[in-house]
Amino acid sequence: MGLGMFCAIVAGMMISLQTVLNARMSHAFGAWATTTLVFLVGLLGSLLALVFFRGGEISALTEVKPLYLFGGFVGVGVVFCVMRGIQLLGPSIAISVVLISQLSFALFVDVFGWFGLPKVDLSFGQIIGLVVMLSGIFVLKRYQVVEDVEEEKDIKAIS
Amino acid sequence: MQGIIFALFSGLFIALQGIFNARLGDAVGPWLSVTIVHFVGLIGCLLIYGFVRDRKIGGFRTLPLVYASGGLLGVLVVVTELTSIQLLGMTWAMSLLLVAQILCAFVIDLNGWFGVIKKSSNKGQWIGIGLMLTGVLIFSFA
Repeated sequence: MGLGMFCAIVAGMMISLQTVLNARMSHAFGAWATTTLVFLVGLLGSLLALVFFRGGEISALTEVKPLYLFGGFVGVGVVFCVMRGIQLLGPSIAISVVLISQLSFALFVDVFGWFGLPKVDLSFGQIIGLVVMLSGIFVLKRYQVVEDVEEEKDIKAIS
Repeated sequence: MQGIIFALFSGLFIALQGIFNARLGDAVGPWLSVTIVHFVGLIGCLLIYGFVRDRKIGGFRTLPLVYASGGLLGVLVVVTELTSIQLLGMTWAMSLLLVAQILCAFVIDLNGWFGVIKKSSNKGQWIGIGLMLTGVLIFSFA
């Protein structure tokens, strides 16, 4: 439990940092050139890590459902959809919808045990916890609205 | 409407990506998984970039080196995310990850780190954070 929680928190923090760095880079450099560069640097980093840490036989890949190899493609789909969503809806609404969609899908996967993941039973209290957490996200996002608009203007002024 | 569909799919894809990577990690371990993820993702990007060609890739030399490190963070993200999904299940892993992500973004904005425009906080935001953390506490003890 401890390691899992630690990993989830580190992942969330790193995503924030990465979002900031990528956003700054794409102002200067274009969205797709940025994404391509990010994946290229990531691939080099992964190869380096693979050499250090080893583990995992390439031959085991034959036992993996081919679908699961395409997480990288899905990641590119994320970049595209998030970008279009924000262009069409503005950051606040787009991000709120993304979060609801993401968490509800996660909930279904756990409850029904989709994709061969172990079924996780959620208690009534845990559902309440999720609802409280989501409402907190909404309140936080709602009070950021004005400043998001200002930042958009800034971005346009820069570019 | 179109925007809502894109946003809905974004969330779905983010969750799917976590699941695929976790399942891949079950078979070949985290480090080979993250390599495959980036290899496949790079192919996808190059395909799109081939059509769009928004900037010359070679232009990265003019950028501060620290920006390129975003890609290295991506390696950490994939490995820690897939590990947490394997250990905690989707809902708990995604919830913690989101809260950490949102809090971290808030702190970055507040302090104006990494050249982000510094923003002051207001009461509403602190109430939102309080609710978020209360939700996490309820979830973990319920």
